[in-house]
Amino acid sequence: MTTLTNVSIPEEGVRLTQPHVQAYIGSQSLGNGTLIISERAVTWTLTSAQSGDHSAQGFELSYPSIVLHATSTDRSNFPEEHIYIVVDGNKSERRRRRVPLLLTNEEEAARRALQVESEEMNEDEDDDDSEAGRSIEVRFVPDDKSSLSQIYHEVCVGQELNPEEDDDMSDDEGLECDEVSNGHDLQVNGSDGHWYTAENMDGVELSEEGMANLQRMMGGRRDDSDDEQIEQ
Amino acid sequence: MATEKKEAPVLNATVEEPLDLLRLSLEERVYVKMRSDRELRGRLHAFDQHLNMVLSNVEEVVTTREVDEESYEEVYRQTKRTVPMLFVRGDAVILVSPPIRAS
Amino acid sequence: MLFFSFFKSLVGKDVVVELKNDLSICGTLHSVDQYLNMKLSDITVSDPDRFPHMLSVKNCFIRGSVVRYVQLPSDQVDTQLLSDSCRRELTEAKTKQ
Repeated sequence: MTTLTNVSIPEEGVRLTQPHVQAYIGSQSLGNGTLIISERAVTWTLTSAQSGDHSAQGFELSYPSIVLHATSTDRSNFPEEHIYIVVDGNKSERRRRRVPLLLTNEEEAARRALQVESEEMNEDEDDDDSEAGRSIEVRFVPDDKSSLSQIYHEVCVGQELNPEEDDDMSDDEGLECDEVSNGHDLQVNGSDGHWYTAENMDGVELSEEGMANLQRMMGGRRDDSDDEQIEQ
Repeated sequence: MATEKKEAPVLNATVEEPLDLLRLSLEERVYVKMRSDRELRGRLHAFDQHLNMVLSNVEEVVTTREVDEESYEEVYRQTKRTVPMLFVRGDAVILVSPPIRAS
Repeated sequence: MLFFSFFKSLVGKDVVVELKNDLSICGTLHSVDQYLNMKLSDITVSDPDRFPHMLSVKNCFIRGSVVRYVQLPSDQVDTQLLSDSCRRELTEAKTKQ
């Protein structure tokens, strides 16, 4: 993601194509290119490196990897007005491993610089449980400053079109908990008394759904300290 | 599931599923265990099925763990702060319970 | 929809949005959608050393799923109304089932 790779140029759901946009990752300029905002991703392609009709050198930001975006007007930190984006490097990291790297020497140097930068920004990375760390700053600097508000707006639209799965905060399914299986292997076994919460709840009959909800409430990842909490 | 149906006293006639239990904690102080070694104690004012919550008079404790490179001993450091009114996004919540343990 | 409605009632108020990547953003809540994506204006950051470039942005869109906490202005929150709404939503959800 943060490296220049061969990206496919979006053809469907394109909401904005803005030419003459400089891209920066951290403080490293990647050159002049074209910014394409589609319903699926934000894609930037290097102008000088068109490699075909359907793909080009560039990078792609999926909406879930975009933590926030903003219009920056602070010229003391950066000489021009631009669209400022914070990318979750953890999410983009997974993408990067899947993508074959096709780099020129120059790009390879830029990529190394980026890695150093993201490592520097990531000093507080602690354990794999942590969701913190690895934030990457991306800037899009269009020649035409009047396009800034539209770029900002179209990325907003793209974000709204791409929520996390099972992440709708509208309450259309009543109390159903639809996100129980978010990564934790739950061992629900109430019938043989292994599941400690049942002991506290004589006479209370739980639906499967309710059981799953309770399991989540009482801790998806049970460990000793959790048990201690409950049993006291 | 509580397959044995017996005449034991029922906690509350309307308790059919876990979120009903949490409903009993509305306006009460609760303990919330969060991802990234964070714990919250505060008064629960609202929640939904995602375990999004609003808590007031919140105390947050963040525990960071460091390993001494020579002795390999783990050192735990706790940082506390208070927040008057806090929305908590449910996807980082691990556990909600009445604040049984005094600390 | 409880928290969507709740945040709609806080539009125009100052909040501090704390993200899972530990970035904290103070600003005025400009708008919110049903995914609790939030737009803020008049932004400052509490840790400018780490994110110096957030110091002067005109407007900011924060993806709902990256949020850990939102600090709310306690004098603007009617907790009685909030818990009543919560009970009502729970009851309504139940009768729908």
